[in-house]
Amino acid sequence: MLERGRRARKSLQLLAATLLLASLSALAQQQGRPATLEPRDFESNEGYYQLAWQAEEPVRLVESPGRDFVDATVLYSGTDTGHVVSGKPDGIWHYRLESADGNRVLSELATITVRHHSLERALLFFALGVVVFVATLGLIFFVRPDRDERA
Amino acid sequence: MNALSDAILDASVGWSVLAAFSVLWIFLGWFWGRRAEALDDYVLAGRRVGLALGTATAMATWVTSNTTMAAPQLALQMGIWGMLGYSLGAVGLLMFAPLAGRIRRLMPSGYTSGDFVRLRYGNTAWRIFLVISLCYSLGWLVSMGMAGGVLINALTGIPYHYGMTVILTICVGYTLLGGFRAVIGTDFIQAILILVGLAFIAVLAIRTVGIETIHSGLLTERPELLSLLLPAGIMFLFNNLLFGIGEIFHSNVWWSRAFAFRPGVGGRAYTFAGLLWAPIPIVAGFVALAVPALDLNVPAADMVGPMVAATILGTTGAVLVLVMVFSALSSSIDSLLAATSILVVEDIYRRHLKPGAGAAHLRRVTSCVIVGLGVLTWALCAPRITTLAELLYFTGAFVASTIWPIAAGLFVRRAGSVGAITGMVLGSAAGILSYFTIGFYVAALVGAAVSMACVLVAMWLAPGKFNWKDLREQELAQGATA
Repeated sequence: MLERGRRARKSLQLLAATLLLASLSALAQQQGRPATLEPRDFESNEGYYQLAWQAEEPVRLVESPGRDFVDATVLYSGTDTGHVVSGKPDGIWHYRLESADGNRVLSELATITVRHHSLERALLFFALGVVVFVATLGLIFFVRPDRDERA
Repeated sequence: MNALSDAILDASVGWSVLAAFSVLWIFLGWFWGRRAEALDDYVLAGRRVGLALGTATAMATWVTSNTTMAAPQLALQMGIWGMLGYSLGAVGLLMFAPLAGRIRRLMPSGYTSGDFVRLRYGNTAWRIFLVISLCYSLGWLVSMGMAGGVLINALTGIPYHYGMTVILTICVGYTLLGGFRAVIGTDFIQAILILVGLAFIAVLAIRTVGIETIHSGLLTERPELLSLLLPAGIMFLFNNLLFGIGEIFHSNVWWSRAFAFRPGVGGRAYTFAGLLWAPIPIVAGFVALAVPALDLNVPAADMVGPMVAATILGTTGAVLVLVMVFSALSSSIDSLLAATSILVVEDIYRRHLKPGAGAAHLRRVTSCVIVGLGVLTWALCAPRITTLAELLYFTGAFVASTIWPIAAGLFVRRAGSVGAITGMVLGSAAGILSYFTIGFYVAALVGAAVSMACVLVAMWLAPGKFNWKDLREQELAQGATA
């Protein structure tokens, strides 16, 4: 009986220690990533998207085609809280926030996949537009309203 | 909204500009409206508007906050096609020119686009049309009220609610004082301010940054913006054209002008307005392409136009943008207030609630509705629900579905209510579906295509036999009782 009680106490202590460690680890992670960058994972069919963040210090926004950020470009540095990217070709792009001096990574990684609509689909809609437009032009400029209008 | 860290102008400068123009608009509203006692004088400027004022009011109304802020945004997002596609909105004005003449001939004493749909297609089509039209008008009003607050806040640091309240109060004030006469008069001055301001900014952008620098900046940082094969841009092109046509063909903003112009003026006024308007989005959009060359951070796409102008021109540019956008917003909000109020009074109040109301009574009700619309718009703008701005894109599917019911209703006797009703309902549904499954840049196109198919099939399977004379006779009788 005494043995069972001791084991139960030990189990509870173990559980509490695990929970404490997990909380501390989460807190440490949060402290290591004091900024949030959105969207975390996004697909764009147009080649444009908006990155938004919250941070308590000036940041720099860094873009890289690879997850390792070896070939990285600084897109912005300062205290604004967003950046619009546009005119991107097909590909996968990674972003993260760093401290203004570039020594600390402040946010998790954000990954944007750019996959443009196919040209066939675009031309199909273009052709549909031409048909509707020409038909509407024809209706307005070439259809003669019935003669009984003047009656 | 993603914010800039600092406002470009001092708040005191912002308040001074707002105060000066507010006093001017209110004075002009009082001045032009002091003799508008009769209903026709108040809501349709006595039906005697000439070519110069007619052209200016059509052009200024079509230059909205969307033109000055969304055209640069689309250029930044979709490059060359975004810029050109937006300017195709002018086609709506050009194509409305023959419609305006015909509307004036068919309904010389008409008041609203709702009048036409009710007489032409019956009550069911009329009520569907009213829902589309009123939702669109309210969405447009709210998006402009919000745009005003956001822009003033970004440029001057004046809190959003103050800026939005000032713009709405001033527009309600002078529309109330002067009615449609004040709307048209102020539109004339606002059109000149917008044109001069934009031309000034564009010339300075080219001089300061240079075409070659702009081109090489784009090529390095945002290469797809220069591509003529950008798929979303290609899809957007006719979508925007049809959105513009749908907005103009169905909205009472444009019908009320057709009724207000002197006989023979409407066609020419809309043609000139379209030709004058077409370069504006190109100029406004071009400014946005200087972003890479200027190494400018754009936190939110719809702020790009004002930001580039302010960066290039400094304080002068920011003041210029403030004056220009304040003018653009005012010229559209006042027109919407005037046109929507008469739609509510004529199509809802008189037709549904008080059929025997006389002209003097309707004149008073119109004033109350203008104030009511202002308050409702303010209440919807106040929570700053950003999704409401996106609501305007939604309306593309709805308004484009009215193109064929309206155009065929004006020109083809065989067009009947079945085609009009199915066209508006199925066109809207298909447009919204494509909005969610593909993107905003095809919603109006799909809506217009489905609606056109419905109208054509119905004309073939169940042709109507509408008599134009009936429309005119009924309409004349109603005009006389009013």
